[in-house]
Amino acid sequence: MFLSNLSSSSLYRLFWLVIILVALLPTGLVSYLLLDKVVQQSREQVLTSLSHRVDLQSEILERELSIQLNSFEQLSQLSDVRLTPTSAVFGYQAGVQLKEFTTQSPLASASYILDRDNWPVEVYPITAERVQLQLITSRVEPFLQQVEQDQILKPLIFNVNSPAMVSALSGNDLTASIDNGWVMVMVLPLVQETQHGSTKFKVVGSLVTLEPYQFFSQILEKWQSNNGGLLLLEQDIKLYSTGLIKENKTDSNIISWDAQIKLADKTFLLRITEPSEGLKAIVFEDLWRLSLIVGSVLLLISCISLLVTRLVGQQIAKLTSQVKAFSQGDYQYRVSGLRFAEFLQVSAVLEQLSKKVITDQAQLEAKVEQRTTALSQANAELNSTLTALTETQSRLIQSEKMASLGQLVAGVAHELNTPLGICVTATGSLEEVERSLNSMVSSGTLRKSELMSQLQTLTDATDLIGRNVRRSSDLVSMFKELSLEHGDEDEGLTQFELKSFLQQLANLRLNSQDSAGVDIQVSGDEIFVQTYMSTLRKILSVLFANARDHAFKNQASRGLKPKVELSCRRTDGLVELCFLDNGSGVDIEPIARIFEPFYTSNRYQGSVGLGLHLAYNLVAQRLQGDIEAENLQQGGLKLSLNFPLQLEPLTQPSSKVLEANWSNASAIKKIDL
Amino acid sequence: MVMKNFICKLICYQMLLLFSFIATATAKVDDPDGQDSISMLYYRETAEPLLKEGLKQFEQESGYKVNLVFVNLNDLKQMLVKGAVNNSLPDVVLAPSDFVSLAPTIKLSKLSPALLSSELIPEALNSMRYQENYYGAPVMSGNHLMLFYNKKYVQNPAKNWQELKAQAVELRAKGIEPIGWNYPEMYWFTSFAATLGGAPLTDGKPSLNSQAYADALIFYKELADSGLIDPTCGYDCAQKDFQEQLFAYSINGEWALADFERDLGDDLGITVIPAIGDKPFRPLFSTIGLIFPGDSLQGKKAKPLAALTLFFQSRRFQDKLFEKQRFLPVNQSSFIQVEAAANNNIKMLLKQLAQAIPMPPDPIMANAWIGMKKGFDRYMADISSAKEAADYMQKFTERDYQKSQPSK
Repeated sequence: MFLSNLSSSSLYRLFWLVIILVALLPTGLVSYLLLDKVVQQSREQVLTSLSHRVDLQSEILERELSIQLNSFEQLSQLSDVRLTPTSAVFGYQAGVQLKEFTTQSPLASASYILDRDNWPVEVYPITAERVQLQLITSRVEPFLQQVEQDQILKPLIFNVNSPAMVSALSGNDLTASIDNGWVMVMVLPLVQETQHGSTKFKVVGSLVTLEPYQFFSQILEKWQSNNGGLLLLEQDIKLYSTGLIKENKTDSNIISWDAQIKLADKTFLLRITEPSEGLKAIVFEDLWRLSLIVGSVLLLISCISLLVTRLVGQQIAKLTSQVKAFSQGDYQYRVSGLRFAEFLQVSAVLEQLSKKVITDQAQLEAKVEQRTTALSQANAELNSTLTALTETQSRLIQSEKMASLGQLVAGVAHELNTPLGICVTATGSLEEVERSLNSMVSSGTLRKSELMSQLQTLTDATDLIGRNVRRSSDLVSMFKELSLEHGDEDEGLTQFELKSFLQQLANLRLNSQDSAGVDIQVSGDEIFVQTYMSTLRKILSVLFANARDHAFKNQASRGLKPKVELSCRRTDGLVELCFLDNGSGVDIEPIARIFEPFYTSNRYQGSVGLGLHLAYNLVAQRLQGDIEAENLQQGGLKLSLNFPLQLEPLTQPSSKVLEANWSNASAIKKIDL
Repeated sequence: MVMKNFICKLICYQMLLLFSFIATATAKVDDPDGQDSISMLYYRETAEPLLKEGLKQFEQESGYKVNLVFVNLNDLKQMLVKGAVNNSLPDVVLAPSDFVSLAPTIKLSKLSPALLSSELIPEALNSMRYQENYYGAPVMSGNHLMLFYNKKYVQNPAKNWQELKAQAVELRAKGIEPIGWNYPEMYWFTSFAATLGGAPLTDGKPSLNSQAYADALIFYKELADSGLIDPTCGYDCAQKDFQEQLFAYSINGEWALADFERDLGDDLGITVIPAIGDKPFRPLFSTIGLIFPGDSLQGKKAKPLAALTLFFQSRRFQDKLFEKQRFLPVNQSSFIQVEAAANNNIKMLLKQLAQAIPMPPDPIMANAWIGMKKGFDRYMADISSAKEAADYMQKFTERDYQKSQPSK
């Protein structure tokens, strides 16, 4: 379905669809995947770069510290240094070595040779003499004891937090200005070999160097990027920090990378941080560049596609104009400027086609001429036949009308004749009584018994006349109801729910005398209708009355309780309202005759036979529907009313309705020529 | 076959020749330290020409060779001490007299009276005494500080420091630096302390924590703070710059006299160092002599060493000391001769010597020099007050000396 729709639509659309599906969409998809890949790779590259940077910097720092420690160990091995704790004689050379070590080291700020009592024998620089060494010596002493006990030479590395120490090492007294008071302390035991005894050496002192982390900036700050940060930690203690610091581990705006640095038995953590914005900017830059390239490619494809489409479209337009000209009859039209062989081929074929069309057209015109002549003749015959048929139809309708009118007039005359005849007879009796009484009174022979008899005759005659006059009046009223040109002109259209209306009607009926003993059931759909409600009520009253008078006439003898079913349903804009009874049904063929005026099976019981006819007219004229009758298989009669769901106000009866007035249920259809 | 035999022989002869060269070279390498060759260390650089000349003569006369090696005074002591530990000591050292206190440490040989000239100046002889024994043979005396000046710039040498400061202003106006001396060295500083009544040792015990030393620190620092002298002034500005006539004055020792005379000629003037107030300046004086570490006088080279000892104390050599290098002899006769032939400069030199006080020979003096330097540096770095620095000098000296004593 889609493809057939597609094939029938514009070629441009097809081209663009193909271009989109074949070129742009795959390109876009691939581009998306590529961009995603590039973003991932860029991100990975950035993170890898960060990781490499951290690893490299940690390696460099580790190496620096290791070199520092190695130099420090070498220093501790110098004889002058080892001998100085026991005799300051060697202090001069040891001092030179200390100076050399301290000045060459990028990290060391001060170096000490302490004797066994932790007293500084040699110090460099001299300002380091200001430093209070208690924080250090308190840890050095147990260390030296351990070394002497274990007879294993090893370094001691620990950190102390002392802004005063850093201030002293900086050469100023402004402790408050010191931001970072952490200092790395390296200690090596100074030993002398023992010539005898169980020990290889004895500890004669210690070599101490102080390295404030504040001065690590010389190495670390050159690694720090403009926006990033750098942190040196040992067991969560911030020994050195600069720049962007990630205080909260969950902070996603900062990316950090850690690397371990080992020095002797110590493990430090170097953490480098970068703002994720910066990294995003790098990734975005790559993304931007690639997007630019992809966009350019897509644009190029689009432009080429557009160009090709336009080119093809122009050719097709030219062919279209040629076809259009042909379609408009201009078979001499020739197209120029076609470029491609395929289109030229099509144009050539079209030209051949036009020539054939011209030839065929001439032939066709000749044939048409012939056929037209024949057709005109046949048409003339048909017209005359139609005229005859129309006249015949009119005559038939007229004779039907006259027959129906005659039937109605005969029926009215018949109905009126009986009561009027009785009235005439009774009036004759009254005249006879009058003459008799006048004669008796004149003759003076009137007796009471005779008077009483004459009065009785008078009374009887009067009753008879009254009844029959009233019946005549009723008949006239009934006849008047048949005139339904406009019905109840005051009644307007009402919107109401049909099933509820039927239920109400049923409830009224159940409570009334007329329908006592009748089981009324309502079923069907809840339908909102717009029609003449009182007319519908009148129709249903007639149907109820008809069922009471005719259907349930012998119900008791049949042993069945009278039952009426009202049902309504909606079908295609119409309402089907069914009135079913379980009575005796109708024994007449065709059953539609029950809607004829004056048809009744209870004529001798006083029924005129106008009820169903009245109902029929009301359905046809007021409700603009129709009514059908049908005997039920299980017994009883079904009357089906079909009328519009939404009725518009009626100003003049339609031709169909007028026709229905004068015929049976099957109306004669006019042929509209 | 013939060719093969020839090539084999050639290789053998080549190898024989090669081994011969090696043996010869080895013999030559061994030669300087051989039985007849003496290794001698000296620290006084200015003595080098004199020593070489003298030793050349000694070699000619005795047939003993002496291998002369210069060692900086600052390295000498610790080198000897380490050498003693490693059993690698020179045969003889020309060292200051206070080195005799190292006798137990570096195992100095005791000198018998036969090796000591009877004409030695008593003070010089006594300076080589340690615990009732002589552990060195004096060779030169004096070794004291004095004030040298350039007559081209100074007509009337300052007699006190106030005058000197006043002259400094005029001299600087002429683009001449007033004075230079080896400011950071304790040999110079302690002379100031001694002038103010202090003494590094009193009765063989350190007495550095005296008021005199505290006052000396203050006075000494003030000289630098006032701009009279650059506190970083060292050997160059004390000697070399004076020789190049960039300085008007120099406080230096008689070891520099010969070089100054050579460079300044008649422009050289010598006078006593300006007094501090009314206190005449009292530099230290000491003796330089031969000491024999590792008990070398009892070793294989006893004979050549004994000959060398006597040679350096001989009249011939002693006379040359002053003549060649302006070193004061320890021989009385030679000294008298110097006094007799003294010109004005030498008279002032001798006058200053008369005001000098002898360097204590006690072993603790070696520790005192170091302790003094420690306290001095602390005071100069504004780490301690003068009193605290003097106390530190004392404490350091005592501690260091205590450590050097054998544990009981």
